Amino acid sequence: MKNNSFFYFLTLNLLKEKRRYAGIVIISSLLIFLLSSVLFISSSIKQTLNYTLKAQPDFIVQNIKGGKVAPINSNMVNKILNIYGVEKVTKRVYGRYFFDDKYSTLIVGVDFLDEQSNKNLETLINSTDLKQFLSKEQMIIGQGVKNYLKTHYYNLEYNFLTPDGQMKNIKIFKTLSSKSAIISNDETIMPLKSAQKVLGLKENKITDIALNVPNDSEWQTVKAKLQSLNFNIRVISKKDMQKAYESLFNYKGGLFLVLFLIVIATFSLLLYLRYTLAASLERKEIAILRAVGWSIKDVLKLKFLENIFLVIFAFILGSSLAYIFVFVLNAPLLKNIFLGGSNLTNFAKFTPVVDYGVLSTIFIIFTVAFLSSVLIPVWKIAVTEPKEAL
Amino acid sequence: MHIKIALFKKGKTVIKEFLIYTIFIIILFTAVNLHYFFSKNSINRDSLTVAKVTKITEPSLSVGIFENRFLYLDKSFDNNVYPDMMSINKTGFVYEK
Amino acid sequence: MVIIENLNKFYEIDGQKQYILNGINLSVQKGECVILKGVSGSGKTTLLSIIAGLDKPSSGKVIIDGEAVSKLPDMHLSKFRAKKIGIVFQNFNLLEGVNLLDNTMVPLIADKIGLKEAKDKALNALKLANIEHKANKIPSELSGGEKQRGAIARALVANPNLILCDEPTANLDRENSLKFISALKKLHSMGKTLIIATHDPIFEELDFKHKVVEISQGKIGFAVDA
Repeated sequence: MKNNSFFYFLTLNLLKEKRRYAGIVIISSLLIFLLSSVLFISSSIKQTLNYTLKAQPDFIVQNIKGGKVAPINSNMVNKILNIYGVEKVTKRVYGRYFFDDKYSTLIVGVDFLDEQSNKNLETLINSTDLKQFLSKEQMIIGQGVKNYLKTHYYNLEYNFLTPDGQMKNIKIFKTLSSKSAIISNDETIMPLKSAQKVLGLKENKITDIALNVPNDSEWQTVKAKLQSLNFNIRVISKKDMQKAYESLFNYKGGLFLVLFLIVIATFSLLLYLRYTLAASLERKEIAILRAVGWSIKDVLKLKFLENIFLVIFAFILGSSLAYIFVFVLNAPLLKNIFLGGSNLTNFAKFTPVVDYGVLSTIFIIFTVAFLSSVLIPVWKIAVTEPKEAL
Repeated sequence: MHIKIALFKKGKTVIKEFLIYTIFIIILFTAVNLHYFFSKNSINRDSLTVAKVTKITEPSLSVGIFENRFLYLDKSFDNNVYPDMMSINKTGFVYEK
Repeated sequence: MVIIENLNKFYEIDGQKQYILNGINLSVQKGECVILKGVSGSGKTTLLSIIAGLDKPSSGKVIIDGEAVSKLPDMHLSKFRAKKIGIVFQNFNLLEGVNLLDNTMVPLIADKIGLKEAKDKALNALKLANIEHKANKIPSELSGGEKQRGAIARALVANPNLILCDEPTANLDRENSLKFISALKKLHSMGKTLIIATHDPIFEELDFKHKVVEISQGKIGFAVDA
């Protein structure tokens, strides 16, 4: 390659216009960086949520009053257990506790005496700690909650103000890892009874009921049976949740659509500049090359290789930097757009997910548009008689 | 002769500079792919462990997306500075008596 | 070497044919030096461009070394031009931002010659044109005369037999014009065929010219054997 005069001329051509090409590469990679970052974050969150859906019960039964979720009687659990094909019926107690009118935490009450919950808890905190944890009224908090409490000097415990005006003191046992912060950042896990007190629920009241139906062909029937238990019951299936997550972080809609439009507009502008650049400044160069014996094919080959190099360089640079930005640096600034920044600061770490399909679509669209914006004017100049272009 | 040597060196530096950029981009690309290969799914497991305990898989957006904000939803007064002053957007005072 | 047969070039404006070249017949033997004379707009640059294959005639043909240039498809014409024809332009037409050596080797690149060989050939051509000491300067760092000698080196690099010069001294002072003429003389002594389009009287003094062809209003006015 080092003795190839064409390759030498190609490098020479690229480097002699270093500044101009650097400008093109920087703008292009910036656009690709933006697009890829958004894509990486949304696909990472979606993948994490889909992955954790494994832990999501198949159905949730809620009590609706006036269109709002109201506490449900815990004896409903027994009624549900009577339905054939239903398994793992669990009481869920959760709700938002507002520290003030802006910052809030999701209180989750867990029945630690329940065998299943106990087993899962063991993987979250090791078994020696587990005994210690269960010995007192304690809570496990997410990173965001910890950060909020710390800034208010609650390093070891917190006094919750219950709706009936009493104080409920609960010790902080452990903070959840930032690796799980996508779902646990604002969570506070505590014993079921404590949660009921903090959320102002009576002992026989719970937020909702979760259940599993292992045979998925029975889902429709079970859903209908659940619905018939009471007229004000709402049943949410796992599929509904999945759909909600899909649309929540769908990069094709909402804010991202606006972002895409901006990127497309900037990209069109860049292409227009590249087009005029090729049509004016490179006009003489092409005519000279043609006059000294280069064929149309040679000129097109030179310009093609020159620009494909720029495109590949810009694309790899942009997407790699986006990868580092999102998965190594955890997307500062951009993270807040996805996970919210006005409430508790989110310390989420993103699971590396690269959607090669979408990435290669971006690459193909980018390459085709970019190359045609150069090759069309170059071809137009190259086919005219060199005398006219000189 | 010295001109010739100088010129050949110049020629090589152009290719060299180009190769440096190319190698940089290849290294960047490889590093990213290696990182991806070794770290994919590593973080998800922690999320799943928490979700198994809580049975809640909603993203932690710090705002309730499926719940309503009951507390502090309705303020008893409108003006923080003069809480006792009658609100201007209520018409109760006209009809009350 | 070069035979021009009944060559016409015209543009149609409002259905009327506007002739740039009208019925040109000319033959140039190998090793000859021919001066195309004429005022600006007489058609000499167009004639030169058609000979070089940079422009197409409306009718008639140009035959160089037995090949009808105007009928060749692009791939062959480009190769033919790279190997057999060297062109020196009025405004030099060197590539900006590229040093003289690299500029000189441009015609060889399309011919897939190795870099080392191409550089050797380019350096030789620069020596022939007496400009090798400026080989690593870019065109913006060179004077008009130096650029012109660079252009000669580029025209020579592929060792073509036919050298075409279009108003080569138009942008040069007398001293540089004389230097250019001495370079031409060197080429002539190497047996190259030269066709020079010019209206510079300095070429009247040329002692190695074979033919002076006067072109006016697209027609050959007179051709004098020198």
